[in-house]
Amino acid sequence: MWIYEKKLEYPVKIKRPDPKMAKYIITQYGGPDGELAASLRYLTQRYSMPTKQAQAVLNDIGTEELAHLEIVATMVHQLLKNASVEDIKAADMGGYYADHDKALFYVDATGNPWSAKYIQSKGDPIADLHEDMAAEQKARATYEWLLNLADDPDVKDPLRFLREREVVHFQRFGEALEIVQDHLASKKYY
Amino acid sequence: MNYSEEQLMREIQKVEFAVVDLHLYLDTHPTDREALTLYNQLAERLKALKETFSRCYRQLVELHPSYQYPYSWVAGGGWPWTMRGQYMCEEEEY
Repeated sequence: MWIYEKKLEYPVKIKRPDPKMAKYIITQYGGPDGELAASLRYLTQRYSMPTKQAQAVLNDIGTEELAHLEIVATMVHQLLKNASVEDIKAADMGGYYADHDKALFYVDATGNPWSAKYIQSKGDPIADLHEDMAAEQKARATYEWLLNLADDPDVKDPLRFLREREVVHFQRFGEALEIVQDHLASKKYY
Repeated sequence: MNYSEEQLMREIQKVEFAVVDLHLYLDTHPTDREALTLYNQLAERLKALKETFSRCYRQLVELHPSYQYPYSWVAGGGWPWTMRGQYMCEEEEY
């Protein structure tokens, strides 16, 4: 089970509305390399991991990604909260507004809804862990492109935190892969 | 040391960052005694900070004891995505 803590993993306090930035950042909410895809991918792959360490890594990173999903949602929410409809139109976000007002919905930066097609669960731990390592690098790259698009320090600061966590996760998945490879190699001698 | 609600939350977030990171490290290094010792020191500190926070301000963790009336899970502070939840208390509701 999960226990909710009424706080963010990293603080988000965005004072200036910016619907254009909201439109870009929302891709880390419901886009192909976003936090929802990351969390759901790891939490569903954990059932077919062959070692305790790999199960732990998938479980715990999948859990941390839920905290990141909440950080991204908070950023989008605060960027939109006090934006005028005029600003939303000018940011080319009128289509989103027509469907959702300023509510949070799982879409990428161009409005495509989230899809389970973004993720895989192969039953082969080597294949899955390679996918997870690639996913962390794609998420890291997305945060870098978002940092290039951002100028407000209130926005850049949490984006930097999220980018750094992808690097740590990549490292842990790499170690899990090594552990699983050793485990599978040792089984052949039985 | 005395903290305001915001300062105490920052301290919790700082210590928790280290605990989360060590937790993931231990997932792939469960026999690293030094890391386990550090994890335990920081996890104890984090537990104490959260207990202080929940006694002084409001319930922080779901299913934990709630020391204020009315039920501070609902009545105390804002939800994390609101500015009030981020302790900009000068703004009643943004």
